[in-house]
Amino acid sequence: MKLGYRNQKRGRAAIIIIVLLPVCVACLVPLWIIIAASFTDNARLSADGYRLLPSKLSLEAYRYLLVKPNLILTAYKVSLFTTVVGTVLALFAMSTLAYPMSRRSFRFRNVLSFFVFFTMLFNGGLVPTYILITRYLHLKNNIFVLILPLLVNPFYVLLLRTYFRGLPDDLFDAAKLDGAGEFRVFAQIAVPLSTPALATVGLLCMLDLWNNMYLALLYIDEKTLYPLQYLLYTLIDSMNMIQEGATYTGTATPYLSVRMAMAVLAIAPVLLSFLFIQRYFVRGITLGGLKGD
Amino acid sequence: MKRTAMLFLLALGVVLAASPAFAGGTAESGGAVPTLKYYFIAQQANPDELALVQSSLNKLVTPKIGAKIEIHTLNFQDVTTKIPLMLSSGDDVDLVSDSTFAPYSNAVGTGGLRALDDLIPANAPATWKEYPKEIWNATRIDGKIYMVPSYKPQPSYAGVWPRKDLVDKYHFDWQAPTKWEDWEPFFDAILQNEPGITPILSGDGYWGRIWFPNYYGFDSVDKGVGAPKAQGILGVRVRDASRKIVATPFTQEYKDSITLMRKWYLKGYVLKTPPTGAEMNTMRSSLKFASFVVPFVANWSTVAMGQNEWSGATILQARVQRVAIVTTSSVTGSGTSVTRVSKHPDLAVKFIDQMFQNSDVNNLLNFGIEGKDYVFVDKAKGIVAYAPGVTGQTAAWNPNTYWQFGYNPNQYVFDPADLVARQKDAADIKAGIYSPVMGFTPSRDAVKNQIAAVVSVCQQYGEPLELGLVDPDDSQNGLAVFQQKLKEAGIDAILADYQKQIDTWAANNAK
Amino acid sequence: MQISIDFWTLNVILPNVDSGTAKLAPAATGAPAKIRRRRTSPSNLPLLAMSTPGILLVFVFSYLPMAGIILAFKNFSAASGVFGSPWVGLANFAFLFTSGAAWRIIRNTVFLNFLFMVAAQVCSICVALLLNEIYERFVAKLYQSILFFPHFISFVLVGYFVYAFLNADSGFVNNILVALGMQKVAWYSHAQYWTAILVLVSLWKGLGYFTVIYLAGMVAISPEYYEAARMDGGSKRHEVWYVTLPFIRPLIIINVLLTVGRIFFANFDLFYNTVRDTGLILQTTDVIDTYVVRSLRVLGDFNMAAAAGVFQAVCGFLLVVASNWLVRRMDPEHALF
Repeated sequence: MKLGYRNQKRGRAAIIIIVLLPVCVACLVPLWIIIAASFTDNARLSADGYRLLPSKLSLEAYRYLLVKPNLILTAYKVSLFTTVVGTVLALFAMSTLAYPMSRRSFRFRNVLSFFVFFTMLFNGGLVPTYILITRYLHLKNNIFVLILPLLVNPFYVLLLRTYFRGLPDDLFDAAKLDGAGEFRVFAQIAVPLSTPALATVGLLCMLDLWNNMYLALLYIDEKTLYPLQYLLYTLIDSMNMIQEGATYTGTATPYLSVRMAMAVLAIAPVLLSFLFIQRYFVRGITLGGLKGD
Repeated sequence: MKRTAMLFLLALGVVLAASPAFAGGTAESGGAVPTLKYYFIAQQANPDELALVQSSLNKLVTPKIGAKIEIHTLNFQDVTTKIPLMLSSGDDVDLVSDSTFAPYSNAVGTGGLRALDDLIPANAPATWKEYPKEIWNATRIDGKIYMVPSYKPQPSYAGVWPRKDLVDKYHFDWQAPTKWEDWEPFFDAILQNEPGITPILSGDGYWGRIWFPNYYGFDSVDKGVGAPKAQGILGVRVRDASRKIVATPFTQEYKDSITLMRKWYLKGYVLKTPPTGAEMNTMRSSLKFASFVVPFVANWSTVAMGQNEWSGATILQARVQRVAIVTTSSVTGSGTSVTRVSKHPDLAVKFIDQMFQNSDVNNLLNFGIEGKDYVFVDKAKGIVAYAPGVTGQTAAWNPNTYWQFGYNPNQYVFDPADLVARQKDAADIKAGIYSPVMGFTPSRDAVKNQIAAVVSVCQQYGEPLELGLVDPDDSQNGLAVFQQKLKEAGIDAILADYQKQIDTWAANNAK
Repeated sequence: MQISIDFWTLNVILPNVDSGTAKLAPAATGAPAKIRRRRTSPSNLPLLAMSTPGILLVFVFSYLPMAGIILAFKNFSAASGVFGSPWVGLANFAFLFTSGAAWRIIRNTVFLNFLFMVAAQVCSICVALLLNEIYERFVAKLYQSILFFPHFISFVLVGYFVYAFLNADSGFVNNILVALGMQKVAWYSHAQYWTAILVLVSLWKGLGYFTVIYLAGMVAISPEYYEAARMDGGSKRHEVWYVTLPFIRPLIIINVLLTVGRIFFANFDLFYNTVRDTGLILQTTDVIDTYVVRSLRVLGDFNMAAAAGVFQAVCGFLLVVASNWLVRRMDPEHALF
């Protein structure tokens, strides 16, 4: 016996809530705890453990990290530059790479797919890459070393290829009949229709660029070029060496609350951008491009 | 479409034009004076301060050696990756610092260091004379010297760092114990009367153990053979003139040690699950531990450590091991090396000599600029303090590594008690024992695969045993199983190979 | 007979138009199976030109250093450089296999990665389907954002949380067990629990990530298809099975194939920070990457690390080629290459 439409809808809503709510709580709570812990007085943090609300409010952790505001500010600027410029360039490079791979009429699409995919598995290793970048490309201590290696991520390229393939062929055929060249078709039809896909990949790229520490560790010596994540990491992790023995005098140990504060400082901008990018996940781009849903 | 394309190209152009502004500028050294690049560890080094230190350094050094120095600082963590990488890839570097974070033997293994046998006597005669022949021989790998060691005979003992307030509260005579068991009354008192405090600190895999080879009379030859955070399982008994190398897990001392640790674990002297480093730091600073069991109790003042790690509590240096043992690792633990690709190795060595012998240079590198980074408390004695308004965290220049630039007798100190410690150290070393394999650095080439296997076996079976997490008699993870797995991993091959190397080295040295 | 989309050819099938089934419109993700292709299509050159920047970047940053793979077969010394160092054949691979741990680490790596993949894909598809059903845009976005939060949290912090949950002294889970009247469990001492624990952690971290990817694919489905299915009286289940899932099938295939390719590579950060090399649980949690890092930390040997990487890559590659061939048999348009 079929349930009435309204009951069916209520039933679905109930399922959604029953399934999604616990999962969302599990995803939200840790982040909340991290933020709360960063504002907690460290002694109480140790005594009381992780809480949802700070047992004793304290800005000490942030004060410790922001003690040299100039350095942090410079690092923010560097990270901002690399992330913004990097994301734009990456989207351009990857979409122009993925689009031909998605066209059935392109003779080399399988070759190109293999070409890109192969790099996901085989890697020359640290020393050869280091030699290439420092000795032959002379990119050491150049801000673009933080951007260029990350511009093309094979996984995202293949994702974009799949998204592009999902677009209806009629539009493309119609445009070509009208005499449009491939690039115009790409730019004026494929790209506008793929906003959700490009937004997704753009977001993921942005995260990769923002969070990357490894490139800075290897190729940047100049402290004025340190990106934010790496700078925070250097402020904290030199202390891990205390483990080896307390023969290092005159240094304060970073507390748990400081590590939490570092995490918050590092992800706050990305979190905000993420919430901002949400608006591009618009549903129901139709064939005619005329009506949304 | 055209408009967006134009805009895009314009933006791209701007970006590219602006990029040189972002390219980090390393100062161009004009003129005929060669520049030497020196990479070392520093905890904190602000770029502006670094420039000041560098120019002051060059004012002192260039007239004497005819070269400019360009200093680059590395973080403690990065050093482990960066220095081997720079050496392997032939990067443009002249001088690097060796330390436990970027071990000397690994650095030599990359093939990126230059042998200094001839260069040191010629360019650094004072430093060459400063160390006796045994010390120089201790730095030899494959017969050649690859570093100038920062060696100061400093005794270290297995022992305890207890909190003074608790020791006093329970009237414990902390200077009396001569063996681990003698500390049990104190730990028991803590267990019974202080519910929130754990008697012994444990953390991150390093701590919460009592197997320190020196305490049991072993020189742990090649600490690397063993779990990464442990003390190594190969040993030579320091009183054994025949220099027989053994795998310590097969010895009675090891069995006694882990049995005792297991007893302590079950009693509750340590946490049941070793905490992460961050957790341990937090607990330590909230005074949730009563003591720290370590292999490097020494004579230096614990005031700074207490302030920074124990929230100001006073920590005592309570040794349990009674006689200091001098081993090779104390020599090769830190020093400075010259790279193979350096274009002016002679000048590099001259600079090292300056660091060691010239106290102005040494103190400049260690402490920064007088008045800005530090001020004199007592100039005659060389006691300094941070400049007003500056603390350890906020210091613009704070390498915090007093071992890196060589031990200069006129090096400043923060704590006057350290001056006294220097004298005590000399006395303790005199009373100490030199290991029979002091000066021997093993080559791992022949048994690399076995070492890799042994490392993993030690991590899986040895660590839980040494930390007291599992019963030595356990049928699945106990000592017998550990020994069995070691044999399967090829420990005997390692022992045989190392013994051969030791015997050869001993024969050569006897000449 | 209802309107449906053939799962395999992705053609919409409407009954009763002519006698028998008729093809209404090629569903978006697939043209009719056979297409006449001209030898020299006029679009080849412009498309090639368009992809040049990408090709160049991949070539410079990924293919040029690949020459370094030969280091896996050499004994590298800085003095001789990459090309001058002596060959040693397969000697660098020996350490993986002579230790007796080979079977264990390979089994753990592949098995755990397989579980991670199944859990992540299945759960994220289900969640994406649910999110797709929510009509209030704000609520959907809220859920989507929250699900993504774990992705922002680094594994270092994840490790702290796992410790806070599972440590035997004051762990959250043990406190609950005690409150329920049960015994405390020493989680870090029992290897058998960790397969499940790691799957849960990996799922928690990756759920939002893949949900976003699948959702982006789902929102591109034109509502016309849903209307067609609904018009014919199809229930929600039909909508999902015959419209949504077929449309994201290419995405699923890509995700699975790519994950299969990397199945011999473990997520090092996950293992390093949660397992933390705890000896007693290594039996079920030691993977190739952690084994290699631990063993080579001491030796500092780049060659052996390179050899391990080559081993992982070759195994994964063979697996992907086989899987790709399988996919090609069933659905040539959506194979990887």
